Amino acid sequence: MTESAANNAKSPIAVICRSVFLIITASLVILPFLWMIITSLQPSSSAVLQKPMKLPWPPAFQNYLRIWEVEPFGIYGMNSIIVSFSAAFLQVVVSILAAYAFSFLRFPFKKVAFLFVLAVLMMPTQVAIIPLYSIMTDLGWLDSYAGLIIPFAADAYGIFMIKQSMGGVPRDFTEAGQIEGLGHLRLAFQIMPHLVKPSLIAYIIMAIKWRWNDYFWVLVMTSSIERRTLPVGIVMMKEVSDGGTQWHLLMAATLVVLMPMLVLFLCLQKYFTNDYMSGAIKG
Amino acid sequence: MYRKYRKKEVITAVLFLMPAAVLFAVFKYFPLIDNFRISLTNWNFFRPEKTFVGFQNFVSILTSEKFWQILGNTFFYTIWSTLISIVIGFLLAVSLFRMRGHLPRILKTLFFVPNVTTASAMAILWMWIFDPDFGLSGQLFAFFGKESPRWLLTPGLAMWVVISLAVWRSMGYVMLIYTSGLAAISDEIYEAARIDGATQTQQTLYITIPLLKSTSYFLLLTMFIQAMQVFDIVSVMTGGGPYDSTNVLNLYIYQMAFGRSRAGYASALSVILFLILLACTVIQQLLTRGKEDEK
Repeated sequence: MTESAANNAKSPIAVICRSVFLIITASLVILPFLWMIITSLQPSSSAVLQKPMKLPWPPAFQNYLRIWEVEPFGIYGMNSIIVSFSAAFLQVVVSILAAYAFSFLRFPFKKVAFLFVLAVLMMPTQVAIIPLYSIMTDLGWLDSYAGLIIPFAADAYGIFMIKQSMGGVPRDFTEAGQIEGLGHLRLAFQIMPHLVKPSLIAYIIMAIKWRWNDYFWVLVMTSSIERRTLPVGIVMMKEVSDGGTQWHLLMAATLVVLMPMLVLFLCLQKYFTNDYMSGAIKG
Repeated sequence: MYRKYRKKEVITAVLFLMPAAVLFAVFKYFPLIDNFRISLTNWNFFRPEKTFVGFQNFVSILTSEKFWQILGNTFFYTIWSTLISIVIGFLLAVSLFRMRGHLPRILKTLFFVPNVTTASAMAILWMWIFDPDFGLSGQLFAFFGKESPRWLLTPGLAMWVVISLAVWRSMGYVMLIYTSGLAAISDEIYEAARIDGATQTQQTLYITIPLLKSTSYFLLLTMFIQAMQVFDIVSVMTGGGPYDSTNVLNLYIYQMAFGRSRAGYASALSVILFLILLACTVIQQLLTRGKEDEK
């Protein structure tokens, strides 16, 4: 940091404006979480429906146990884990294969093939949901894990991102590897992951996050409790209780839905932010 | 072409690309093309045959008042949520950039937290915050002895509640992108400006903002394209109401397809959505290409 930055920061009006702005924004970020937690610890519905609402003392931590009985959150949670991790796993495998081919193999129509990958970036699932629904029906994949996972097994963004970072690996490297008798498969899956580790981890986290938070696809493609994931489950919990919403339980459940990604983010922060930065530079 | 392709290498490449190619063909390219075909029929999911009706769906969409209202809502949501997120995110990035110590790092983490939340769950929390009876809004207004507006039941207000959640979730992302943009600007430029007597505000206006132009283009267009596809938060919070005042294209497609089984009509709507997204992408390409030419 240079001298100038320090001097500039001393202009008192600027400092006050900046502090006020940061304090307000920080409060606005914290407040919803605080409200959620306060509500979730209320002992009963009638304690929630009061003006003014009292601080929950003693806090009713049992709400966090009760939600597992009220609504099949165990099943939803399991489904969320199964779907997001399998989809992310497949995405990584498929992306590494394709990215490796684009980075290190010579074959005809390479540029055109890559354009076809990039074009997929402009095709969100929503714009073709009707044909997708009928494909899922024909395959018998409605309300199945396959239907929640396989359509997402290939991800254009993953191919693009991993190819970008493989681009930094010198070509000689793979050629040397081949001379030592390593096949392309072993190069792609045993050697490459070490060389592109930061962006690979960033991508894995992002892929899990996307599937974990997805609402639209699960809503359309599932009809039974057995296949619903948390983002849809929580909304179902709200809807079935219409009129007599048990806000203290619903807020406890909301926190349970949000928690895994929050923990993952706080533990692996640097990778979360990494991927966005590389995204910006590419853009 | 300085040498012929080696057969073995080409076969390996084909095998390596096969999984992606098959998956994209089945779940991306085929549905997209099939969607155009379905949009020209009056299919309703159940009737096995799809009767060709030409552009009838498009005609009835483009002549329906409801469609234009919903398209207007979609643009209203998209423009405001994008602009507000970008302004707040930019101010956050600039405010935190020159600070030292642990505080800016902690604040950056805090501001990014909303970005990893699940949209549908947050939408439920937002409903409870804006609940006019016993929610946070109800409590606060009662504290001041006033009656809380019925946010989600008032046409003029409901969309702003939706936008507020969108901004809340995305401002941290914008901040992060701008932070990395700011890091790329050399300190010497500011140094020179300071020697010339430029105030901090002047530096921000005449140095920071112009130098971050390409970052802003990137954010503006990617966020615009994303926002055009909003579904989760609207669907959960308002279901498009009251009186369709918060209904957006994607939700309308969903309602037509899975609520009223009008697959052909819904397909035509998604063709329109796709064309809008395509136009945005083309504009983005032209703008970035234009920029490269300048250099």
